[in-house]
Amino acid sequence: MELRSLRDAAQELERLDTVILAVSFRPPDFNKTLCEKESLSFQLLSDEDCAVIQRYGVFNEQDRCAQRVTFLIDKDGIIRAIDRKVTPATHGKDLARLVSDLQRGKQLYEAACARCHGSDGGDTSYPGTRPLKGIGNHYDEDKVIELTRNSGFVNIDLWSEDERRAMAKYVRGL
Amino acid sequence: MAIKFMQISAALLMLGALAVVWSLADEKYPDDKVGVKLGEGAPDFTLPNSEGRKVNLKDYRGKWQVALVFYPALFKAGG
Repeated sequence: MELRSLRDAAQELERLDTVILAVSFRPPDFNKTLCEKESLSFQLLSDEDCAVIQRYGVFNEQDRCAQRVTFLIDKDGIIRAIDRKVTPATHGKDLARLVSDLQRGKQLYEAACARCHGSDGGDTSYPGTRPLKGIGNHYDEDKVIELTRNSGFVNIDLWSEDERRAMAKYVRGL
Repeated sequence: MAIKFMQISAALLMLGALAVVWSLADEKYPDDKVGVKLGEGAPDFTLPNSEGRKVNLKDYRGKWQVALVFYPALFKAGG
């Protein structure tokens, strides 16, 4: 179901400069049959010994397979988002939404935040500025928004709820 | 005396078991790392696609953003 949902969103993702690589423990011949049967246009990769699955920390010990987790890796090879709450039926659409949210968030961040925080979030030279790099490993989206609101520097109500979420998503990947 | 001996043996056994677990972990992850972080580089890998051709994550560098989707694939077929 997840793969079909990805198939249906693959074109939209491509327009957003994003390709899908789907990894499971299944061998290539199994994946070949699956690709043909479901007319999948993206790559199904075989991690038969689950080494990559384990390296990414998404191994399900009990069933000896991958957990349902998606990583968004930008063109520089940096992990910008991790989705650990995948809904199989809508994952393709949700992923396209996440990618466009991140693009929107980047624009908003560059316009409103980068002057003090720096474009990579690492600038702390402006008094009272906290480093943002790696913040997504400690705080979820709501917490990032709350911290911004409470910082006293930014009037976060200038942005809509959707814009705030988009910015928080982007900041978490800095 | 016997009790003490048993205690020591038990402790040694546990140490041995720990050492085995440790060495297995070492073998599996030569760089001693499990898990990844936001804002950091994605670990590189090379895996075969459904045609048996090798696909390297690095091949996409500078060209495409990658949605790396891990899924259980416990279904018999389809889905």
